[in-house]
Amino acid sequence: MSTVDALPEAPTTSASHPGWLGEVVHDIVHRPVMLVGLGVWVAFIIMAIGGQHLAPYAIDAQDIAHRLQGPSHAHLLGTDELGRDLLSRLMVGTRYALAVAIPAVAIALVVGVTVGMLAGFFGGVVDRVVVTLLDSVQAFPAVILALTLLALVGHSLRNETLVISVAFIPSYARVTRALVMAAKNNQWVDAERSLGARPLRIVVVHILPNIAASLFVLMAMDIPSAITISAGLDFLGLGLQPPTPSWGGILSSGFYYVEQSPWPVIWASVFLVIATLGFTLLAEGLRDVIDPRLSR
Amino acid sequence: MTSPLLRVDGLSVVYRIRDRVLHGLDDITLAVNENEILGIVGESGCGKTTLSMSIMRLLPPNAAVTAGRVTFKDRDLTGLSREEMRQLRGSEISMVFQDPLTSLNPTFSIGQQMRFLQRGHLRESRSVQVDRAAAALQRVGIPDARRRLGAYPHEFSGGMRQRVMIAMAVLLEPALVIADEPTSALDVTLQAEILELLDDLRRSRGTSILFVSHDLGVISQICDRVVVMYAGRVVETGSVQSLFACPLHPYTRALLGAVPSRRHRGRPLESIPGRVPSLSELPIGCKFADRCGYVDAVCLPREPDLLQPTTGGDVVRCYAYDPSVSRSASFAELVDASLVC
Repeated sequence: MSTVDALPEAPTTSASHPGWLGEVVHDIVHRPVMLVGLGVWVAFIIMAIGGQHLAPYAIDAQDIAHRLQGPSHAHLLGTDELGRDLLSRLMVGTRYALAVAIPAVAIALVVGVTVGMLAGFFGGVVDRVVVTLLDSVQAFPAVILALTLLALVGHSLRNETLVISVAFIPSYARVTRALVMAAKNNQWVDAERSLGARPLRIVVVHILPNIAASLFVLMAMDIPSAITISAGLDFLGLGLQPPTPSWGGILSSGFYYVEQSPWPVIWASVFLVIATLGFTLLAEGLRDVIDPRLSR
Repeated sequence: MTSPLLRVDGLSVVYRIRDRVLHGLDDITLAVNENEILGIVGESGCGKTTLSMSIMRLLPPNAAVTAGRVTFKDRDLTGLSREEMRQLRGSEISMVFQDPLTSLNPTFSIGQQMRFLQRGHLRESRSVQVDRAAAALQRVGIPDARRRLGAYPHEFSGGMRQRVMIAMAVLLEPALVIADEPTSALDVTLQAEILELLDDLRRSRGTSILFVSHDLGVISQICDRVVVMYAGRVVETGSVQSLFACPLHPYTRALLGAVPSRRHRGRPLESIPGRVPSLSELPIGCKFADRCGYVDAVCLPREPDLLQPTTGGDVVRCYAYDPSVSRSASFAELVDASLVC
């Protein structure tokens, strides 16, 4: 039988291989939920960068005659208790939300991952010391911890960022520690040691890429909660102070006048909800795209 | 052939588990000559892997070498610094592990992993490293080697992955490869191919191999000499021919009896009663006494030493072959049986 010979040659995969980036782009396009999240985030990042140029009014332009008004042609989202344009203030406020949340999570990631990797890989005394420290930090609820620390160090954008990152460090350290402990039991770690790899090299070069996907997803999930915590601190008057147009601050002063006009509270909440929801959707999408076990 | 490539002398290893001390290896002595394949055989838990790990000095943190030395090329490995030992791993002694599916890092292409290995030992240009990696893959029978360097572990089948592992192990032409059950996770056809490959490497490169396995069939195919281990001890050593033809130690006899063969045709397959004693409750005397068919009163109070029998073989740890011990009926039966071969 010569049917086998007649078969056309199988196409080689390398000819039209889309590549890693191509696959990721393809995956994103085919996930509408993730596209929504991405869209929200592009919009917020544009606002964070160029908010003061895009905003219809200056953030401190007062119009006392038209204070606490609802949405209108002149003020699309209404005005606050000093007659300032809410839309402009919320747009510019995006910058403060992201300027706290993103660095806070980034710092927590770097510190937490370093500590967690050391504890997880070397174990023993190092591990016990780290776990005890983490336990002590985690014994405080994140917000209470942040409140206490802020009361101690005083409020500024930088302090708020650092304080939130301290609250997040334990979860990164813990997750990293657990993942490293699981990963180092893989036989390929033994195999690499038996072929003469240095221990530190094994953790950083070989184990880290294996757990990076999980950490990346955790980070994406934590950014919205960092935004929420920072808004909470601002709301309580412990974070950024007026007249800085932070979302929490707008919420806080709006809350004071809520009986005269609910709009400042409503719009500030809407911004917060859209931001957190948008990033959560993006994070979930990213998880599916990055984690090969879920996507294929 | 003067001194052997690898000597293990009186090596003892203990595991500390909570406040208990378990004797994982006790007084292990063996030697691997140049260009030789030495088999280590024994049931699960008899210390085969502990032995290979202690030669590599890769024991888990709760294990410690309490006595003995490992000499490789006339250098005492137990006295080397960590960095010297690391340099040695991969370039002079390397290992192949049991499960090829988990022995490679899934996040890097095999070419990258082969280059990592070389960078840990040598300063060379990228192209030299790539050439050497491709040549090694070629040598272990992976077609289209240069293109396959870019492939990730999951793109290879189990047998192919074990070939890749072997290619990595012999990449820097080590004098000794420790193969820890390299074929146990593979099916019989692949097993034969891998054995042939290892034998080929020995023949063409003069690589010595310490071949750890629980499978006597595999051992008999590939090894020159065999060490039989039981409960962390060497119980018998001999050439493949003498050990398989006339086994001396009751444990070796029982192991061979449990292998299906034409000799036992029509008879039910024998098995060894009982099980390997747990390390936490080892008997005081001969560790095999409670499962042995020839056991005698002398076996129980004190463990026999390794001795050279007069009837053949290298060494055996059994009172039956000790001329200073008076022969009981069961000992005489054992010695007679071992003479008929």
